[in-house]
Amino acid sequence: MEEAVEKSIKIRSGMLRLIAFGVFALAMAGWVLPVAAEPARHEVLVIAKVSMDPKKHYRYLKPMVDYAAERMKDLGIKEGRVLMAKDNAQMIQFIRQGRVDWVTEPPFSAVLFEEATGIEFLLDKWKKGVPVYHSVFLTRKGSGIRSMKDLVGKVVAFEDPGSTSSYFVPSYMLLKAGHKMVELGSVRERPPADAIGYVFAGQEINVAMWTYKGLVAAGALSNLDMEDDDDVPVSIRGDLEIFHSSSNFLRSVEMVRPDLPAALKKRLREILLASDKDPAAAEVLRAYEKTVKFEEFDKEDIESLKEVRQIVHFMKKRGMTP
Amino acid sequence: MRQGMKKAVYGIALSVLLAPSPVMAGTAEFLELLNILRDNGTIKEQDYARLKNALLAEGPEKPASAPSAVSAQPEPAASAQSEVPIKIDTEGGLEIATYDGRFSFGIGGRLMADAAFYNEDRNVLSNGTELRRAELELDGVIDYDWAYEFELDFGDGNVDVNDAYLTYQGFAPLLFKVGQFKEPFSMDELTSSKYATFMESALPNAFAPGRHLGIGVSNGWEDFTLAGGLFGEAFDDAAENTDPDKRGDESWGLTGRLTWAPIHAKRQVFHLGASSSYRQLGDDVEDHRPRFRARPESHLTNDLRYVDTDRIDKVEDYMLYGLETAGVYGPFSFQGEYIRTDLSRTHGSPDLNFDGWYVQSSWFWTGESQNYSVAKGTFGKIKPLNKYGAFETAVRLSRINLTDGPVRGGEEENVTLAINWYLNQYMRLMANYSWINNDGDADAAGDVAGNDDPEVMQFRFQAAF
Repeated sequence: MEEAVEKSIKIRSGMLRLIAFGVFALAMAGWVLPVAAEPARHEVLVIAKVSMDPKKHYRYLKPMVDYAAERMKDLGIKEGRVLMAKDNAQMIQFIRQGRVDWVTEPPFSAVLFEEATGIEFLLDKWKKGVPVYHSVFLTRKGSGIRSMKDLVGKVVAFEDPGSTSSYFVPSYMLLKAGHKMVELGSVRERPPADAIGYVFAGQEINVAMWTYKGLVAAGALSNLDMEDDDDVPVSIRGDLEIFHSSSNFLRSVEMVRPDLPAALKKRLREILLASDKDPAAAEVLRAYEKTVKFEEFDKEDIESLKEVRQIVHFMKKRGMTP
Repeated sequence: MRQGMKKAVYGIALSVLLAPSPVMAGTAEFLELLNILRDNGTIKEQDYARLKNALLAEGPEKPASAPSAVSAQPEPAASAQSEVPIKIDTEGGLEIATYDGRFSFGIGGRLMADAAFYNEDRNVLSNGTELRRAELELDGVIDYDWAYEFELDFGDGNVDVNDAYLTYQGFAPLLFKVGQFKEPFSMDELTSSKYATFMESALPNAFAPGRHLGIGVSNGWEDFTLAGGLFGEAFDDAAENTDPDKRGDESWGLTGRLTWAPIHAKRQVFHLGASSSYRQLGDDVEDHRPRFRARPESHLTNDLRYVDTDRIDKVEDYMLYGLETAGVYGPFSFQGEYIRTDLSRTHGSPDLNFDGWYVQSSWFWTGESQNYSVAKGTFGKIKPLNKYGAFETAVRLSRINLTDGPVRGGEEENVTLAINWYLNQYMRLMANYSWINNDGDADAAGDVAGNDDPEVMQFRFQAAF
């Protein structure tokens, strides 16, 4: 019996020693790692995006830049880092200063960066599993709204001023068609008889619900929102109809700074193009905004980017940027 | 000859692409041509990139010919080139983060003010109020890969250390933790009190190990999470070495939890989970005699816990097993758990086992959905869809049995109705009404009359930021 008790005490002290050792090892690792030699700028691959939430987006980007950097060791890359910009202007500065190598953005801001800095398009990114998306105008069935001109004197709901598919593109479509637009403080306000009023609903589901309840004559969403039960509940979807759609736009693109060494550009392209076939990249791609794969730009993509440029130029002249 | 052909092809492509007025209708065809030339080695990678860039960019707004308003700005001084921008944000608390992910610091907190009214049966219960939780929470990231969290609770007039741990996230989503944190056991226990549907945990939470000092590791996949750790005792227990009853080796335990969510969309979830925990008891006077007990899902009863095994002698170690499931379908949700403990005893004393379960369901009248985190296998913050907030009704049935053989800890069954009003994503009002049904052995280890069946109406105002 005493032996059993002694054995039990021995096991316990062993486990306590193990805990103590674990704590010590972690503490030592924390002390040692930060004092490792700082690599030179050209030995670091820096990925970037514009972010309102750098803490969250760091988790999206870091695994991907680490994955790519790991596969560029023979080209002199020692580590991957993330640098996010608070807005487009800051991103343009970062690119010009050579502080970022690789930028991942939707095409509308991508063309802004391209025109300001000469940054190069590298690949098309299937963000959240889809290559393209478009904007749609929706209304409640039987509302009598059949085209954009029927919205004159009425109110349209957009998501928020930062939304490409539910503000920037639909605004372009209305302005391009020659309509005047007036922002309203609430859905209860009326626009001038010759203008289209618009309000921000804050969330996609509100755009759908306000349209369904007739608080607004129409709403604008992306086709992906329309298919998402979270944004347009199944219970009301049958009562809504789409009366106008935009062209398809690329979901997201990867870009590289123009003076990034050619060998690095080539390797990055190869790594990304092969990533969807690499089991080691599965979790990396999932973290990277649920990307499914990367592709070279094809004919439709190039035509689409040309339209994006036209839209951006048109809107820039009216003081609006994506 | 072959070299000459290559040069000719290259020359033609270059001259067409760099011509002052490129024929844009043929852009895609030229891109294909460029791809072929690159792939067969006719042109170098840098030439390919230069030609492709020329092809994709349009003439009139190129930076060289027509600089934009932004490009006309002077370049910042060299010192500014190494500066990393900092984001400062507040939603009641404070969040500071560098834009390179290297550092962050946050201060948050939670305040829960409760009032409870009892419809007594056989025993006296005192109506009253209390500050259930008044917590200050600090968290941050140090040098990319290290994160910390530190939580102090001033709720009962003393300062209690809740979470206090350091995380290494350099191999994310693989995380290593050291310090005091909750052992990975039971969805009800692991869902933060800020987000729990009911004011208090269900009765079987009496078995959940809770927070202990230890080291842990967790990983998350698309549908799965796996977490495990090796734990000693709680911070407070370890600090009480001056107490003669606390002298001696601490107890220690091994705990693990696996969750699987085959469906996890924003408004549709199906979750399954299993946890297990082994605890080897310490040899100090108190901890080698385990005790399981539960308040009647109302904290204001203070130390009155009807179901109570009291200290159980001659226990060598025990195992805990937990099974859990949860689901969300739009505004509806359900959740349920079964927890069982098996105690191994020495000196010929019979082994013991106790168990408990609960099932609950909720419905948001205003259309919101329970917010499931697949990375944690728990529920999180509710964001109301409307300006007047979100309303939720919920019902829970829970049961615990602490009677086995000579240990007469009692059985209890509770039914609770809840109405929650989420004023916004930071504040909510809660109202819970419980019908409590105790058996004859549920007498607080002999301190009060058994078979007591009171009812409780309790309210909470909560702010969490």
